[in-house]
Amino acid sequence: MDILIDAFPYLAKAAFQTVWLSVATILLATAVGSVLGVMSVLYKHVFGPLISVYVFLIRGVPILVLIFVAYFSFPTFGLYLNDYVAVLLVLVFYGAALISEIVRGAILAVPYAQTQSAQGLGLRRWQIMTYVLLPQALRSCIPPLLNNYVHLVKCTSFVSVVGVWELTLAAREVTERTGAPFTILLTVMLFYYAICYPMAKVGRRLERNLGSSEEAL
Amino acid sequence: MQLYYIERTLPDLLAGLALSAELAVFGILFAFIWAWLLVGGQRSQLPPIRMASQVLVDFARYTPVLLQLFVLYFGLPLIGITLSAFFCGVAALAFQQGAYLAEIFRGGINSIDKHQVQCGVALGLKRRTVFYSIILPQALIKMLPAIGNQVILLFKDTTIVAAIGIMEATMTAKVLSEQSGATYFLFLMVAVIFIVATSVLGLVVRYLEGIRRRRYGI
Repeated sequence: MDILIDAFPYLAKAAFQTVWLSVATILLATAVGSVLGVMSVLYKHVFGPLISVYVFLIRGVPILVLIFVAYFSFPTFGLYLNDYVAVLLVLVFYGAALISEIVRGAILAVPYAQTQSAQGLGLRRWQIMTYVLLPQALRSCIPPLLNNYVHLVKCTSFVSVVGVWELTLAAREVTERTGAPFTILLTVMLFYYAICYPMAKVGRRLERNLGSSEEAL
Repeated sequence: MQLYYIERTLPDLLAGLALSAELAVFGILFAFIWAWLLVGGQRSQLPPIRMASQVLVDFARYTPVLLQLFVLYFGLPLIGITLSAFFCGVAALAFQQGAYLAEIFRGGINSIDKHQVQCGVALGLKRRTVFYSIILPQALIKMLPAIGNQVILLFKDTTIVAAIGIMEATMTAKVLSEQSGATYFLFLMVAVIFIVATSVLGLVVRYLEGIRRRRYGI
């Protein structure tokens, strides 16, 4: 218990890093992913295949390998980034790929009759997208998005493997210093739990209310 | 030079991939057993068991697998259980993915119409028989795509054992790149190897789904 009290400020500081990293990842990945998703529907023939290839490549590789590739290749290409910016970039690339799929799926799930009626009313393509399809797609994509955010928060723990200091790395440091793995690691797991569980809970409730539950994840 | 370099390092990286595959096979095996226990617990008649299994499932799903691995690797020796690093990896993978599988199993079982249970009971079958020979086969067929997806995720997650120093593909690449100074090239190779491996797995899952569609029409 004393160990925990001593280590708590250090862990809290680390938890702040994790929260900061997660929030930044989620916001940026959502922004990039939504743009990619919309583009792949709007310009099906130009961007569609490109974005599919991007998603295929990102999804085929474990996130840890992606972190290694990016972290060690940025300097080779003359990009000397801050540690946090480098891993943030990787997480955003990864998250955007997953989110673009969700957004694309949600837009395509809106019944085609909606597009046809909008065309009949004389709306332009981007008007159909912004006024007709997106507002309806937003409803159905929130639960899977929240599930994905949980996944992304957990993914931020992987950056500890390349030595970026956040909650998981701090937990490891403290464990090695104090030799009390259960106390420290379980406390840190509770930190993550406290972040992820509410998000998942909200997601599940919305899912039930919206009556759409394709994603078993 | 690059070709020569690929030729020299590829066997080591593939050996790492083979280790990943081995981890994945054991991981999947234990994940299925663990998921089965969890589902049994969640469907139990006794509220404490039900609650305990739900807490376990949530805990496994909402904490990073890396920390679960550290608990097993650094913690178990203190309480007198010494597992090899390899089996710590297997246990951590099975712990998290088993919880995901448990949710899939539960969803699949619940998705089968309750009337079928009533019909089975009305025909005079035991509850156990109804479950194992009527509900479960249908549920398994329904769950196939989700299970396949989870297996691929588990395979990709095997890379986390690099964090406890097991020489799987990523760790091998790290060591080799430190020896040779080829900074990112080896990691790119690992990425390509994984893309190929997961695509093959994806094709196998797709093939199974094709069989399923032709046979059962779903």
